[in-house]
Amino acid sequence: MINKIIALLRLRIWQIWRTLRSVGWGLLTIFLVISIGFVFPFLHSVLNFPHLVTIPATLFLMVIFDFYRKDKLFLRSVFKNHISLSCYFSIEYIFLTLPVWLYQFFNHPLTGCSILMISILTGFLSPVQIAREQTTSKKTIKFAPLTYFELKFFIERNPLIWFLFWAAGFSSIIHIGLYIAWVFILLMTLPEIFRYYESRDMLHWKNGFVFDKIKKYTFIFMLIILPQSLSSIYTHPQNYLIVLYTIICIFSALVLNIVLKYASYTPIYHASGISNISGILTLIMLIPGGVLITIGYSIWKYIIAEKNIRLLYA
Amino acid sequence: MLNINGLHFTFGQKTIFTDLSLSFSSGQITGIIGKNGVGKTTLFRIITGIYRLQKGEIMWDGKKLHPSAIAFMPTEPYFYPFMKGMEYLDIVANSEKEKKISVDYASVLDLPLDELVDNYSTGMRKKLAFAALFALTKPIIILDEPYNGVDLESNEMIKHIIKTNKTDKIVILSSHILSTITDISQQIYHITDGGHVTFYENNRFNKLEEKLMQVVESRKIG
Repeated sequence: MINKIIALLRLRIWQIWRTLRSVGWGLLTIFLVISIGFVFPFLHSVLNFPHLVTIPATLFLMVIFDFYRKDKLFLRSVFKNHISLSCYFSIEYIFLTLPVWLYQFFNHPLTGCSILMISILTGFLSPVQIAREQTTSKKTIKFAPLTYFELKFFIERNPLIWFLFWAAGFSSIIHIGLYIAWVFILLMTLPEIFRYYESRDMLHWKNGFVFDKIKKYTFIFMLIILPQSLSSIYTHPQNYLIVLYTIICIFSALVLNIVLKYASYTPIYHASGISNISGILTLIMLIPGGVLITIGYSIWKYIIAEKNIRLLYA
Repeated sequence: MLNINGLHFTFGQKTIFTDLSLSFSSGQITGIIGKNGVGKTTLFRIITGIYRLQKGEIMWDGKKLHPSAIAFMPTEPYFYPFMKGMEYLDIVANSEKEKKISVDYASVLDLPLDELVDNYSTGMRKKLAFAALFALTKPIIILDEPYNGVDLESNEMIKHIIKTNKTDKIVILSSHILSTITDISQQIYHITDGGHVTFYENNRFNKLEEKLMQVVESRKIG
């Protein structure tokens, strides 16, 4: 059992290293340099929260993380019994919450111990919630054309949540911050939307294939975000520049995700690390002016994408 | 001997199995066939304990079956992102001996163990999972569509590995290609709609083929 736990923890460390490497050290350095300006103030404000808040916050995050992790069935087959499995989950969660409980332990020992206990308990109870239905039923949205199959399939997996999310965009009427948060979630969802590839039969190559795709999606996304953006400008006219900047961010992220998808496309396997690159560039965009880096990167990848598709399908 | 007695299973209003009884002997390979959605994977998930047993019993050598006695390869095996083939074998194996055997299987199946699994094709992933699971010294091995996406050469290799290494194990496998099952199995359970099961021993496999052909003939267009 100990050997397996060590092998799994070692794999976790390698995964972090390989994920960072897949993003590219150059891009990561740019991100780190640029983000110092807003990471430290954010960290400072988090640390200034009342220490007791960290207990329910950790509990909430751990339960959510545990519920949605996809490797439970695999781990169940790897370990001989529930106790070994519980031990592994507990150890993993202790490491995951290490910065929080260690920081709290030196400042508020009781809070630190509570967070540590939450991690151990969540891990210990984790195997209980394994045997659940793994399949989902999907309803076809017939009016949506197959040209937008990425978005179509994404919405079909959970139309109600998507609709609620879309409607939540109107909450920006209350505060402009809600609009920014809404856009941020949308941006982070884009890599997931563009995760799926056309089969070879679906990919009818023609000159400017990628550009055509960008045009089509720009139009559909304009329809999706227009009502919320207009209502934000209407209710917060003093913040119109912020709204315009976020709109530019959305379209830049859209272009980025499309070009990244086809720049690394091969018919054999899905390229890894795309969502990480996209995630980093999305975060960079949130820093004023950061969108220029994304646009520059997208232009470079666009040229590669057109060449790549031509090479594979022309 | 693995016995499933009086199994009853429903998904909400939909009944999958009613009073299903099957038995599997050690040292034998058993094929499970049936059209899509008939309940093959559900049956495997019940045996492995992923789905809770609603009614009936699953006994192994007279005792209640414990999931730790089973090595189960699902249709789509799970792999961590950014994991190498060798790391997968390392995690799945319970001992150095098992790891060595799995590495041997992987090498005959022509797998690049130093590569990230993310770069593997569907068939290569299947082969990796097979190499890792079949090396386990567990008495019951369940393979859900092990040939899916695997190239012809490796198909033959997998069949050869199963045939020559089953010894005292119970091997249960499903496939949609009849020959991949009839070539190596000693018995076949054919599941049809409503969870009805027909049993075929290897001297009656031709009857099964005839039955399937009749179904095809009756559904021919025009």
